[in-house]
Amino acid sequence: MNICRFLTWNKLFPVILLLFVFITPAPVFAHHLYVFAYVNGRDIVVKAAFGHDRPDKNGKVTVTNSTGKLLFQGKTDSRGMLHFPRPQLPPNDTVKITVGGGPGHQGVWTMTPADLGNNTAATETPTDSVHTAQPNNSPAPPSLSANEQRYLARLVSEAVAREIEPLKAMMARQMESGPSLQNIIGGIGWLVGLGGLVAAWSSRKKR
Amino acid sequence: MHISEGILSLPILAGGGAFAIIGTAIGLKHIDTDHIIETSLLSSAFFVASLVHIPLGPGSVHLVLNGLVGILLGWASVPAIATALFLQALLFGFGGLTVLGVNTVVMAGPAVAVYYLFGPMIRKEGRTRMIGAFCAGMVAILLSTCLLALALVGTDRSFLDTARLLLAAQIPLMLLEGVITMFVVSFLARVQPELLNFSSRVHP
Repeated sequence: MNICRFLTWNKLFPVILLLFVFITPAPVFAHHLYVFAYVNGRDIVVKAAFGHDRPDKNGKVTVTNSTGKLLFQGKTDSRGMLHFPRPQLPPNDTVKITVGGGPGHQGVWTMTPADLGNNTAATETPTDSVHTAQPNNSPAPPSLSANEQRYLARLVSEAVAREIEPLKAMMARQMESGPSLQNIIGGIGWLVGLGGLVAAWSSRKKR
Repeated sequence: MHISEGILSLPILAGGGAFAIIGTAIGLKHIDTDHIIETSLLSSAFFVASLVHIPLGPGSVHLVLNGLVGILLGWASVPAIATALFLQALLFGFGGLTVLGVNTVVMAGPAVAVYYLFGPMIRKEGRTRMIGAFCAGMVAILLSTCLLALALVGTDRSFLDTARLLLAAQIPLMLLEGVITMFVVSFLARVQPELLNFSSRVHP
């Protein structure tokens, strides 16, 4: 391994790099199927994509609970999204969402009881869960009737859902942002570094 | 080209793992100490290639470059590809650790095959070299797709239709990889001709 050898590789390196730059017409995309799901009111929203602007269209969605019981089956739309009614489950049960993305590809997202809004005090409807989640902090004025209290709780629940919708969408986008530049450069560093390590070790053995 | 976790059956995963270990052991024995850096650089090229995404027709493909790695490294391409796949699984979530063996066989197996099939051609001059390089790039993808389809069908017969579709969908990638391999080999022939004979020196 003399200096000349490195000089020739120095010539080769920029060309290999340029090759990658020239044949990359779009930003680099992940090949990994990203799945993200969240509760939106009475629905669960699933989003599946291979990376930015590359939704997993017509991806087969299978929803099961922790014991593997089939809860729902469907397909994603042209935006890689699917809405389905939130299943009624015991408070501690989880929901596993598996999305297929063509031959040999699939992504999985598991929703914990907390993601589903099923804490220990959880009840049947999201309206009630909002009401019971903060019973001491915001007690309803005694002058309101039971019906009015329910109506108020529903309004608050809907307003909160509307407000946090963009946040959930943002999280979904972050989930599918693909490999970072740090990871790419890090990986190349590992490979070259490993090569260097083995070369150093074998040259020491030679001596 | 990477198979995700949770799709293949245990016997296929175990078989893939066993073949990958044997291949890696043979590959490591074939790496000449003077060519470790070249091996690691080609491993890096393979590592990055999967990120290069090219829109083709209605869908899109990513480069694999296993033909190029195979024709230049021979058996050494097995550890080179296995290491790159390991890092891809770890850092990008491509494939996965349990399917690492099968993915290694799917991508490195054809790399070794094209080395034996077209290696003698690229060590010749002129048009023969170009045709050999093109065929190496193309046939490597063809064989990889066949192995991938075999792994899927071996797990579940219902994958048969998907496997057929897969084969048709990969035709543009086969041609593209053929052209890229031809381009790189012709470049190396001018700049670094000894690299084309590298693997023949590695195991005489």
